[in-house]
Amino acid sequence: MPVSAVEVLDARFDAEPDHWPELTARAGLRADWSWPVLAAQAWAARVPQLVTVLHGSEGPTGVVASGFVGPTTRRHRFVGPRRAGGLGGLDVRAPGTSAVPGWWFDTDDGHGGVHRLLAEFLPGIRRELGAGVCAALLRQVPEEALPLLEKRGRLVRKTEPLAHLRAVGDRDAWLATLPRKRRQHLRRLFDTIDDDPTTTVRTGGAVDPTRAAELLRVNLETHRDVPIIPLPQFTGQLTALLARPDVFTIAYTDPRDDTLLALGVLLDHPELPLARHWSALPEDEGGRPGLYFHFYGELMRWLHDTGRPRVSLGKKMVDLKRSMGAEFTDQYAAALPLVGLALLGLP
Amino acid sequence: MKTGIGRDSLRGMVKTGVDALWRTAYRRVVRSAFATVPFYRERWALGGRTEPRLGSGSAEGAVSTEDLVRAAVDLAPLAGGPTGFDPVRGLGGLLPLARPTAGDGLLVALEHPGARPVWDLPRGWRGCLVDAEVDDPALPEVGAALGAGRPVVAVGPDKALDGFTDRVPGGDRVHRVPRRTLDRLDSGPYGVLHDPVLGYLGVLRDCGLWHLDWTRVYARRTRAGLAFTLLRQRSPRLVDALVGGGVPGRVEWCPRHATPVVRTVAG
Repeated sequence: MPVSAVEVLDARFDAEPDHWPELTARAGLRADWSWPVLAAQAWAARVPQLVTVLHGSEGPTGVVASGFVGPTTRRHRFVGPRRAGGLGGLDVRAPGTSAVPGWWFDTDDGHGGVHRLLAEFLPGIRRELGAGVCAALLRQVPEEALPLLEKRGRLVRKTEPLAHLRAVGDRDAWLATLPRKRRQHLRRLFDTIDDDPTTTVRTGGAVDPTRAAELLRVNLETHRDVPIIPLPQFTGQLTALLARPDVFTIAYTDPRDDTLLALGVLLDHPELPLARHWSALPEDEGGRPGLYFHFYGELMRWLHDTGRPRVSLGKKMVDLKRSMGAEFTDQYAAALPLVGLALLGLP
Repeated sequence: MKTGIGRDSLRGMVKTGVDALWRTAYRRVVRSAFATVPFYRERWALGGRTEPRLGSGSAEGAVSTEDLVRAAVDLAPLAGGPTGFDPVRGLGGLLPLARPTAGDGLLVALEHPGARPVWDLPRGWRGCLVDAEVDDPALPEVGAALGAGRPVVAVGPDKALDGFTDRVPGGDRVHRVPRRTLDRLDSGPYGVLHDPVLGYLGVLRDCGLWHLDWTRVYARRTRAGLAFTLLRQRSPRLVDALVGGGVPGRVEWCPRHATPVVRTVAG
């Protein structure tokens, strides 16, 4: 399908386009795609964060988020003052999360959108940014796209599977679906925490973004086993995110001194909400044991109350998540050279 | 007819040089804060700035120390670093100017228990922290130093200095350096300018003016008050902090020493 126009936006410099609210609603994009959140994130990123909108004759037909990694990128430095351009590669991924793909298209291409990425997005963004865009890394690629990608000169790797938790009724109904040992463990734990007067659980309340930023830093420190350690979410980004009406928090506090003990942040979506953040205070700093498990129970309650069919739990901790009843979807990452695109016979 | 460079023109040249170095150091810190420290990045960028060009907004880019304390987690640069504030920072460097003494002495910092020791003492000096409210175990050592004729310089608030000199034997020989806050600068004859978040910022010199510790501290006038920047502290990075909630004042140049001084309404 020919594309009439490609619009490459950088939320650092470009105001929210008029079509953005309608596009995000139509595409079912979560709170982290809201323009103020994108702007905050783009400023506090290492590389330019691009939002590419594909336009057809009757309005937007697709949107892709990507980072532009150039030779001036530094691990301990925020992005420079200029727009993306020159020599570099695209890191195609959703803003802020690695649990969902970073693209949406209005039609199903039978390959999870990857066909349209290759046929429309990549040539289009190279027209806009120039031929210096010499490689692309696609993340959260679904299995059905593999036949398109497994060609000479490309690198396709299976990455960590993504976990989903299906709604099966209230907390007790969910417990009943779990293996006996896990069920007994969770029952005991839920009783302990529910009866603990020093721990209060609140879903959907306001949380101070500064305290949230402090607490979320704890979890980031425990996951430093990846090649590129993501930057934390800073206070400004969290302020923009937590102000959104479609963001819910599950907060554990100590009512005696109002210490934030643990925090889960959910990005709502009619079909697949995301459990975007989780972090808990370590026990030696006054935290409580077992809150992560209790959080699953609260998630099930929230799914039950809101009628959402399932929730994405992201990657990592496969065995633990499986024991909590999670299901998994395989995902892949693909690195493509873009130099001589036509010669390689894309798509 | 006199030939050569006069004393005044020499002072003028020193002032020009110091001013250039001082501003360059400040601009470097601002650029680096914007490029690597989340708090300033978000504050300045989301406030509509795309480069470290200060001067916009009601406080002209400055921020209260209360806000800095609240945002401590975002004051470390991306490469990491401590986020705790150091209330004794800079004291050691100011000591020779605060109370010139003959020979190496003993510094007594009158601080709350749990404060960090003074770590930037001049060579040959020793230091100790004393809690003036109680019979601190360090008091005998101070008495011994006084007895041996070593100079002892005590730095702290007036009340703590009184308590300390009463408790220590030979307390009348202690060189007192009272700690002053920006909104209560007096005419001395001795004193150091202190803020609990930024540490020691300046000193009252023999010219009777409050000198900034200009190699480590930058100050500029904003509509919200005097804003201070620590030029050498990487983390937590403190840039354009409105000390004391924003105290109106001016940065001037000392006619005798040709280095920057602060003048507030009170001082």
